[in-house]
Amino acid sequence: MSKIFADVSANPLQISAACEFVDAPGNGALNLFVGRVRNLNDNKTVAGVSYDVFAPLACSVFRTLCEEAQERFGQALNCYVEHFQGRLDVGGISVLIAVGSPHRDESYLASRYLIEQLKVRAPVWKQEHYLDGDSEWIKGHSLCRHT
Amino acid sequence: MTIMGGTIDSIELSVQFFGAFRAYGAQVTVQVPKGSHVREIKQAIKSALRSTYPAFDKDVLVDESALADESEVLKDDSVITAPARLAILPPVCGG
Repeated sequence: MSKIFADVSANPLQISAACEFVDAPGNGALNLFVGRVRNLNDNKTVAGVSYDVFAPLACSVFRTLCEEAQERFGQALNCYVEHFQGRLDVGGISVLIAVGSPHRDESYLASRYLIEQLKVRAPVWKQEHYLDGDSEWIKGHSLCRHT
Repeated sequence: MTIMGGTIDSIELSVQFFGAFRAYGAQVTVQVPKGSHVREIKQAIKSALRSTYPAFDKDVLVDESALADESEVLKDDSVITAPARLAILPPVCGG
């Protein structure tokens, strides 16, 4: 029976919790992606990033992405997606994606699918704070659903 | 609300702000005719913001933003027929 964890947290994200969740005796692979705040963007020195999240919808989107990953890459996948909400300094963990699977190929594929889809479909926004005291909301991908 | 000499129902929508819209507070409340489409609600949001912030010039940001409830992003041709709590979602960039 595969498992899905999809959540938003204002507390520090725990790598150990992600790894433990997706682990299983039948898994030969555990693929972990850790998104972190870097100190440079567009030649500006970054001091930190604030993450704004529409949490109810974000959790729903994360779960949908996990279900899609299972459909595409294997129903046996255990998937963990957790995003941070609030302010992080450089080096802070903004997102954790863990995939546990019987073999490595599907865990790599699913992990890449989850992070790429999260970036363009999840209601999450980041505001970079620079060393010079300026702040800026980063431009992103429109969610408008044209018909 | 009176339109062309007749009276139609209006509904109240509260719209939560995220991302770049946070500069304008946590949310805005708008009155729109019952049965308004997403694009009409966006126009009402622009008007409400301009009413409170006369210098508001983020029309393009509103146009690029989606409306959603807690379970899904609304399609552009979605129609709102009852009071609701929505959110306006600027372009996203998580991760």
